[in-house]
Amino acid sequence: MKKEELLNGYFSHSLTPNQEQLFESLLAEDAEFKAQFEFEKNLKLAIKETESERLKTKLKTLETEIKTRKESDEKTQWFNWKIAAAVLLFMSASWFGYDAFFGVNTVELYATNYVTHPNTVFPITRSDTINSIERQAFVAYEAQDFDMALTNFNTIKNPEEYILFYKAQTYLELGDLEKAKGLLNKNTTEASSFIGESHWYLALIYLKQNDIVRAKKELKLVLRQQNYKRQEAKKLLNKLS
Amino acid sequence: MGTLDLDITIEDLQKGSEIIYKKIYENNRARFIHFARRYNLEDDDIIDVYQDAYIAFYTNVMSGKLQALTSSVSTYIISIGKFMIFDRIKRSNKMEIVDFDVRLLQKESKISETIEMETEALTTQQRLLKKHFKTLGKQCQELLTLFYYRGYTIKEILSQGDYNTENVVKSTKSRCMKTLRERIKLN
Repeated sequence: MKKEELLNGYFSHSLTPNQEQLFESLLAEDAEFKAQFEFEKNLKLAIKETESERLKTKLKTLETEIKTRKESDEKTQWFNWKIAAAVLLFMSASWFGYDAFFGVNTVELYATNYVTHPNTVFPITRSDTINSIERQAFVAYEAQDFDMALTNFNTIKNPEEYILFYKAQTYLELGDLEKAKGLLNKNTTEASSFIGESHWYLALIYLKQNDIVRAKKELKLVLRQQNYKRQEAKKLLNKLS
Repeated sequence: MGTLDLDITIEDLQKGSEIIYKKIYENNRARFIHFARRYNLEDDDIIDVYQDAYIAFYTNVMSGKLQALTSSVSTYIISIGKFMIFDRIKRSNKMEIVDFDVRLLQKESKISETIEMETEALTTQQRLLKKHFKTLGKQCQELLTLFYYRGYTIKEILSQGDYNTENVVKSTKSRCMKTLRERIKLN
């Protein structure tokens, strides 16, 4: 039996007892054989380490996925609580004659009309290899991790024009209406996209703040734009007038 | 861990299905974290140990070291993880501040006998081999991985379908080894 075959047999755990004996004696007496064996044994460990590292990287990615999923579930639960709270507020407001005083319940109108604007600008696929800050921002945005999204949106160097709008959305989600308002106003005057959308969300903010005059003004501006939320804006205007 | 653990065989695991391994990872994760928290470890450290335990299990299955499952997959991974936690604690000299239960070690010793848990760092020669192994072509890397990591015989590699004869497998392997040696020499 060739020495090479003996080595092959060793590494594939297929030596017979006789071959094993021969293997051991060669190892003790043949320096060249021993050196070749050591080289292959070291290679085996090197490959094992390579495989472990590859697996560790995969597990780290999986771990991030699990955590993002978990946080997203928690956010969804939190979001549901927010709706419940809004409904409760509406109910208690009605109890105290809120409707009769203003003629309309702006909290309810806000709750029924407000939906986070989906990410329509940055497609995210699992196979993405470039993990840019912008990608991370939109991954967080889609996972409703708005704190993380905001941090990343703020870190993007030379941001695209649409980032302004999504940053405003993020502030809105985080409950900072004033910052959201500032960015949306800026978007309507400086940007070339998401104009109708910006007016729509400004209208909703004013609704939430009970500023019906400004809400109506923004809704009229939504109607001046193309097709975004035309029907909804008309309905809201009717309810407010 | 549900039906997956009850039905799973060593042959299923050796096929290396990503879905099965992902499920195994996710299904045992919470249980392990819950167990490990009693040893005052940070969650990030616990996850790190859990991943290492999972890798040790995977390596033992894939290399053919683990020939049969005498316990559930869950028991294997968690037992390996326990050993690794104790090892970590020992290394960081935290032994006196934790509730260290020796009986646990005895209970798990059966598993540890069948599982290889290499924790030693690579030697200079091994690091060099690793570095240059990664520069080899895809075919060489795959062939050498099947041979040295999975412990496949030349015949078994032939049955994978990428080669026509045993001699082609052997000559390709020799060529890969030659390239590797040359690259190390040039290092």
